[in-house]
Amino acid sequence: MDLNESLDLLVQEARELLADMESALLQLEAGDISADCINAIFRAAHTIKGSAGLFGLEPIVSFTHALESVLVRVRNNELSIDAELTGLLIRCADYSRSQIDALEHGADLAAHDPQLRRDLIAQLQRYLKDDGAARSNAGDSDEQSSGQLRTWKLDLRFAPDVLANGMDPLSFLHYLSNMGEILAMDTRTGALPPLSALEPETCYLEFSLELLTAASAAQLRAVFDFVAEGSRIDIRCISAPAELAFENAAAAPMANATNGEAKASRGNNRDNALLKVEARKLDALIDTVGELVIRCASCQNQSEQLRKAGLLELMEEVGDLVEQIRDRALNLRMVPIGEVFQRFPRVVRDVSRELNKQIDLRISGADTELDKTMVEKLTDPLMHIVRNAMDHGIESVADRIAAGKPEQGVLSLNAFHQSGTVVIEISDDGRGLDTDKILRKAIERDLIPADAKLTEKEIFALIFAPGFSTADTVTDLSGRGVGMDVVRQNIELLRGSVDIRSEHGKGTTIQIQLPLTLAIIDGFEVAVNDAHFVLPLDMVVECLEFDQQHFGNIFNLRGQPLPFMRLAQQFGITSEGNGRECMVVLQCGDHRAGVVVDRFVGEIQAVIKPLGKLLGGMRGFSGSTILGDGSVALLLDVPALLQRATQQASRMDGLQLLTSLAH
Amino acid sequence: MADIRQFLMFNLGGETYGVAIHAIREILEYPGVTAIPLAPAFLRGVINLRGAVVPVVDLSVRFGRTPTAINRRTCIVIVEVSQGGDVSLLGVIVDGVTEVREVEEGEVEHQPAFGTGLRNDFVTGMLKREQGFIPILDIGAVLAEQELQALIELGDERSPLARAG
Amino acid sequence: MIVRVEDASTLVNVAIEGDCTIYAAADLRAALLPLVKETRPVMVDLGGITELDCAGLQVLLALQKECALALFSNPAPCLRQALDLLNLNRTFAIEA
Repeated sequence: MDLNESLDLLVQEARELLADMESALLQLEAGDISADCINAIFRAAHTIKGSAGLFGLEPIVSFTHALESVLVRVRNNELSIDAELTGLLIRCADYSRSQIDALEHGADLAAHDPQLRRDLIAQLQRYLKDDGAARSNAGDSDEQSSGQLRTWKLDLRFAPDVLANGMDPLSFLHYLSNMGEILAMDTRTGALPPLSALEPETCYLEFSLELLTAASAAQLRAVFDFVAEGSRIDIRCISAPAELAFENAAAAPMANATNGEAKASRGNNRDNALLKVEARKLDALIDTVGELVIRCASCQNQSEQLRKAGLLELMEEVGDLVEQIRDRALNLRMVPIGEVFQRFPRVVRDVSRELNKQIDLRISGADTELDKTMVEKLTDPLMHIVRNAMDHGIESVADRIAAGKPEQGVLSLNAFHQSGTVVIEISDDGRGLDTDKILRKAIERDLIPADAKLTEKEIFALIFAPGFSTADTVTDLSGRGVGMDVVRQNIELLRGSVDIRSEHGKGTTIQIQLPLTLAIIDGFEVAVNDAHFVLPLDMVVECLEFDQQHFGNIFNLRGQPLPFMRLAQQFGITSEGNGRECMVVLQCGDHRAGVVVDRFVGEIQAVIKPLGKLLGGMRGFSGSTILGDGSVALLLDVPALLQRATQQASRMDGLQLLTSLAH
Repeated sequence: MADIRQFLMFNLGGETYGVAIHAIREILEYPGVTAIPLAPAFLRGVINLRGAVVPVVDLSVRFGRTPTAINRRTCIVIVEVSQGGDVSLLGVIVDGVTEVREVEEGEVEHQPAFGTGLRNDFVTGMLKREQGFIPILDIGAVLAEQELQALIELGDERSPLARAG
Repeated sequence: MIVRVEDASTLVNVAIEGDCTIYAAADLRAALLPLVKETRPVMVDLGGITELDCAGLQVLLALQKECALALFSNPAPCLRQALDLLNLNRTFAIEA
């Protein structure tokens, strides 16, 4: 692993830790001063300092050291948490994050806002001064004045009789921890025999540690002066970020990353409970699994033609296994949506202060899992919707009181799985959407004709139209030049949909519906003449023979009118025209319509291939997939088709159908 | 630049054209091409190139002529097109590949191409032959992604699904 | 040092109390040895430990290494401190 990769790991790890720290700080601010909270903050600062130390990133080490020293005193109940200290800690976390950003961009850390760093350290030090109790921080003044902090690697193999001689390795280690900071500690238990063979007075444990300290080599060696003969004590300086340090540097961030998982599953090999893998390796795996799925389908096709005894059954078993591999491989990419949600407590805190509103953020379903790529691409749209809700949705305290509502507004983020999709809801109990105002604006901006007659739903949908904004005053929050149209576009790029429910005066809920994964779907293959198309199976409601029970573009589905379209007509392809047609009923969100094709081919596993830059703009298709015979089939963009079908079906047709039903 | 360059010679609609070999990834026998409904005529469809979905362009239509009729000599030339740092693959339908020819720098005339019936920017030079001239194509210009994209979107505006999205 | 073993039909409850130092290590080992062959889950309550050194810790580590069914809980502060120092929190997993 090269230095850059290790640094990337460090940056990524530090980001995660800072996110943990932030959420714990916000909890502190909300009055939840629990030991867990303080430990989480401490652990984050401590780990960042340790990792940064391995790379010799002195500005980060010295800053987080000052921060950590204060936290040690808080943890030891030598300092009590108050609003002032919490505020300072939040500012420190912000500065830490900006350091990590600077590190990522390769900026000079020493020159990174040194004034702010000095100010923050000075403020932190005020919390250290009042008495000499913090003995563990005795090294502070040395470290900061001389800058002679060095990292030492100590390999300690005590003689087997060290215990019998009345010495306890634990005490040595404890003593070392007071001389500086233990950045890494590896206790090797490999030599430990089974209990039946264990001699209680023999030392079996070996220790290897890295110590950041201002002490000299001689001082360190002096610690072990009295250790029994036969012990092997190895001490060397690894301060310079030389070759030697890399190996450890690379390992450390990964090992530490699992600290947050205190309750990790109790497997036999507990050290492997969590494993960090580069996303690109996972993607490569999923690509290959995709190929496997396709080839497997070809094999199944061939074996069906061969009709050889036993082969078909065998292929079926292989198929089942491949399906399992597919599901497991895809599952590797699944991450909890909490990764996105955890940003919002801070955003809500800051924005509600800025707007002088009181907002209570309620998060539920943070452990709902979805594809990692989607989580990344969801952040911006969600941020926009949340800011919008705070800015335009939730009223000022005065307005709320006037409306007879509680002073504090409620903003909820909720996620859950629903029939093969992930649903994310952002709700507020604010003023709701004002249909009159939206209509006025839409007419003003020529989005709709002045005499347009729209349903409430259609009016709500207008806020997704490009260039639409209802705020009377554009604040710096929402006035960012991106509107809800961009939000909708981003969601649609993820093959998802957005929906709005709102009640005037009571609140608004924006619902985002997303597929679980982008890579492989269960598809339904249909054909018009020799052209094959694939539909996402989870949008298929039912398949039926298309009979003559229709008027214009409305089909009579068991007494209910259903808009439909002929795919052949829509795409300008010649239909087989043998008089037998089939219809597949599709549903996406609230839209439901029928699509008429020549025949059904059946269910397939579709590995979705993007259409690429050139074809990405083609309407009606959301991707492509490779069929069992190696040919390419296009994946139909169901939402676009449904919308089209609904538009084509005129009211007249529906009326005619209803009249005929009445007779 | 080397004095000797290699060009792939191919036939299209009874004419011979050359294209610099460095942009060419491979040459395939004409496979099944999946047509894209409502696509402009120059876009013949997509093929599966070892798991990647690659668009196929009918060069003849791109040159403003009639669509290429498929016969047993028809090939697809896979070309690497780079635009703004991104490299993408495109297939080009030709009536048959004849040879790869090594040509000395002096044999190519960088003159405006008269009588080729092609857009000026499509031709980088003319290769002198006994029977006359062979146009050397600037395949980057012929397959300029932005222009093709614009054409696709233009055609798309007229498609019945245009208002649906 | 006292080791209390309580047989509760589906599992075995064990509580370790007092000083787990080199002076008690032999007794501790003897008291825990029968548990290695146990086929039921062994719940080990570590809340009563008052002092711990390397010798005592080794016995606990050996038990946890050998007895896959041992579940440790409620670590006393001195044990917690030692595990923190030695970075053994993941090796020596303790239920919260």
